[in-house]
Amino acid sequence: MSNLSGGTALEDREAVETAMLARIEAGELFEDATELSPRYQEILRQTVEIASISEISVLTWACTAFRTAPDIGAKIAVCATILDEVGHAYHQGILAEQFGVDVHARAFHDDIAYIWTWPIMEIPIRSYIEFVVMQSMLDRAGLHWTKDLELHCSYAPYRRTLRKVNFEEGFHMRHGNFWTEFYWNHSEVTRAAVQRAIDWIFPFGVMWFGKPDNLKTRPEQLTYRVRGWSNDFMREKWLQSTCAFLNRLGADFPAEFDAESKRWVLTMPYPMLYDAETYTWSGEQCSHEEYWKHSRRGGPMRPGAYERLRDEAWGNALW
Amino acid sequence: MVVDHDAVEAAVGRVLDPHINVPLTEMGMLSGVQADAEGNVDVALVFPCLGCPAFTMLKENVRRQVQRVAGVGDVRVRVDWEARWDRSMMSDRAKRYAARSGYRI
Repeated sequence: MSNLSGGTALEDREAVETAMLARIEAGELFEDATELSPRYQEILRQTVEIASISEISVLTWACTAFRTAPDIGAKIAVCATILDEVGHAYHQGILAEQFGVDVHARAFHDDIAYIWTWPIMEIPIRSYIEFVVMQSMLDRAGLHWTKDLELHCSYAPYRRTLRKVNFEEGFHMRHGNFWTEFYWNHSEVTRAAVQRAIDWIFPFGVMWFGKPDNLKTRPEQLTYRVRGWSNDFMREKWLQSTCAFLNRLGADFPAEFDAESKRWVLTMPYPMLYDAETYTWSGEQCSHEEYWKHSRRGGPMRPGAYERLRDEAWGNALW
Repeated sequence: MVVDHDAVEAAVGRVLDPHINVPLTEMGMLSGVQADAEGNVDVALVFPCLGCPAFTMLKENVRRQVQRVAGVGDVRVRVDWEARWDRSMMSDRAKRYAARSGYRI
């Protein structure tokens, strides 16, 4: 069927797409979601939804650390983290609504099977030391992930939303660095606990950024400049930063410094499978397909963690 | 040995606000320093946020830095609940850094 200008609807869509990509290529920012092609809107919707769900999944996860926090200051720090993450989820949820997501239904009614988050966030935190090591390593990973969006996303409102997110994620990481170092130097017992936490968490940091670039089937996030950094680029930045910190600490970690390239290089099998019950890694390399299939099964906190978010734990009698 | 107040203040200035990344002294968070004849030092901090999640972290960090100052014995770092923090106590640089993160001071 022809339209008024003589072309087909498909040709029109392609023309809109081409024009939009040219504007992105020229470094232009978009303020209005209606300027975006349907495909770009869909990519943004997926990105924002995954981001807001992952923020939400921190709530019950961080709660597992609360009972082990050693003093009132530490308990406030856990609470502040939870409060920050609620804010991050809320801000990104507002954006998701612009792209047609029914956030209320997503949060309270939809079957939780749709929820995917980073696998470690469905495994209970065993101690406050583990919590601060996670802040140091995984908030660092999250910061790279969201900093890329703030710096490069061609949809300007998302950039601005992430400014507050990154401001707070930076604090979480520094808080984690400080207390990781503190417990490393506090006593032999706490040093051993920090090392155990590093052994458990470090590989999750490596896996945080998803599949290697050569296995990615849909690079649209880069095409539409939702992101500016690829998975491998972010993983590399995280690795160099984390290894420098752990090396300064004197901890053991599965990477070595290559004098020739002047960068840290992984020495662990990549990827490998984890055991969520024993908090251990297999030590044997598997395929990326196996790893992601394994991670999609979810952890021991599923479905309870998400049901808890929808329930009033004190019961109706409270009201 | 008499403890040098300026050296203690400089030590507090080596601790950065973990959100804005500027010295606590530029955030206007150093409320007072007292040292006795034995070199024991009392550092009082005032916080912009009453429920600050970094209370313990900052107190420990300040204690560690002040402890390194020559002649210092015991270090006590406390929250000064009598003082009131005000945004005018921030340096211009701290205000600029806060503004960069979207916080208008």
